[in-house]
Amino acid sequence: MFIITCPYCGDRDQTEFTCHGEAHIARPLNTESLSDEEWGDYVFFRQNPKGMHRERWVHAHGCRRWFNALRNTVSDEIFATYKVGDARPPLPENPS
Amino acid sequence: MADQATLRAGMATPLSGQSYSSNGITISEQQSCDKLIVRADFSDAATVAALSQVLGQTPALEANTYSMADDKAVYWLGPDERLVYLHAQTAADTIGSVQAAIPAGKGAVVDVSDYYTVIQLSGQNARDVLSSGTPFDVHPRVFGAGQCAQTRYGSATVLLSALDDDTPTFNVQVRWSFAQYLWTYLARVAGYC
Ligand SMILES: [Zn+2]
Repeated sequence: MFIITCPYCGDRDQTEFTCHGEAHIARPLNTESLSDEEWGDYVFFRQNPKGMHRERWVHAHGCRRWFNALRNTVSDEIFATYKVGDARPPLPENPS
Repeated sequence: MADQATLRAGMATPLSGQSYSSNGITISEQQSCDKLIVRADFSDAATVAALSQVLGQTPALEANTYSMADDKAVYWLGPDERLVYLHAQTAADTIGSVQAAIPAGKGAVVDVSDYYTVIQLSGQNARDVLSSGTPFDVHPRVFGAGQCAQTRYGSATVLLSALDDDTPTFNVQVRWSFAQYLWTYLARVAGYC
């Protein structure tokens, strides 16, 4: 169990939240001219990094707002949470 | 025509208004009241001013707080979302004026009167009963009268609000379909007091 800081409600228990994968994936604008391969990239392929990852979370049992988190997928440490549309916080110097 | 408030007072609630007492704790389902969800831009001063006029109070602007005046309470649910308890009017009588206070196309008002019920915890052990089922910190240092929080109690999504610090009193709002589950959980915990 750990504490996640909702950008709207503040510090809350992890069990109030759910994670929904990689953040900052923009839907292509030229959908009518997209190839199957390009569609496949957009819909299915993710970075899945070992280390720092920007991902989408929702405060499901709280304010029900979506926000982004910067999390280390190895240590599970969350370095920052930020509102959708806000500037991306920089990567930490020495991620554990 | 029958008085609307009288009609509402006689309406069914999922727990039939039952109550249970143990050492230093009373839990009781509250009489139902009409409720509205208001979606609007609460960062817009003109909208807030117009809503304040209709609601008889500046609607809670700070996260995790509620405001209360006369016969209405307004709970912060999100940056653009509030929940209004109508203790004396019906949703049908109120919804039009609330809608009129929000610029066209910039919000929504929904009648959620029968979506929820409220169970009240009161007594010296109320805080202990509350803390045994929620991961939210209900210590008086961080959760006192005037504050509210959406969180979990057991597996149910709830809206907690702190009413009184002297005789610890809390309201737990829960969805109708989770009411029996929550009641059973609370009564079991209260039984250990
Ligand atoms: Zn939140």
